[in-house]
Amino acid sequence: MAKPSRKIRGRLHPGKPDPKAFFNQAEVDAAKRATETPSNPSLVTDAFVLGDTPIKVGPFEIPPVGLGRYMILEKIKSPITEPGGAVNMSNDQLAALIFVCTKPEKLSRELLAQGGTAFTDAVLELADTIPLTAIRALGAAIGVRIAQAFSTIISSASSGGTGDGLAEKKTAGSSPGQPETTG
Amino acid sequence: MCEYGWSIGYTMKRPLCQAFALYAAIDARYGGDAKGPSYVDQDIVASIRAAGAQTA
Repeated sequence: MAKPSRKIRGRLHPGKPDPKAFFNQAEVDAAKRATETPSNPSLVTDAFVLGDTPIKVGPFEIPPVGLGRYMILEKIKSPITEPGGAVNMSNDQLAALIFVCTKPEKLSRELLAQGGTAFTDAVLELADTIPLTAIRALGAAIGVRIAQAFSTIISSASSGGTGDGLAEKKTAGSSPGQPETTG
Repeated sequence: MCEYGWSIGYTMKRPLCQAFALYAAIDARYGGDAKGPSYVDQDIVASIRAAGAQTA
């Protein structure tokens, strides 16, 4: 996906600062470099180079979030699938999120298919093995993972920012930041 | 999914970031209007932000 050439407006004379200029010279130069370099956009290269790389937090490995895993999160009504839902997440909800995002997708599907308390029991069993100090780091890493999942969505909410709060529910889901527990 | 001949099982496991990028490429190929800033636009904004942060 080659980048089209575009003209960036900015100061024409670096030695004579224009008080009306919105961008400084360094910003104008950076924008020019971004448009003139014949390469794929960094969001796309990141998606294909880093998208498959697992994130490790202690003994836990957080694989990339695919549609299947995200639909499981929707099925259990995880707040992470709602805009801003990551902020007020209970410990139970955070444990379920960690379970879905660190255990094989197939296991979550099978436990949910069993019905009853099978899924909840498995979540609680996992939660008992996670040190409290690791929960926050795990939640943060999952937040990064999910923000990364939605980093390439093109919607009216796309901002080209650092990966937090990019997606809109109306198109595919939310892109939460770091989950926080409320007790 | 049909565009690349993927099975549904393979598709469901693809990282969403890759799926969205491919979706955007397919949409552009068929002449769809982007619903927001393109990847190039987002690259420009990110570059300006990075440069601004350095000079601040």
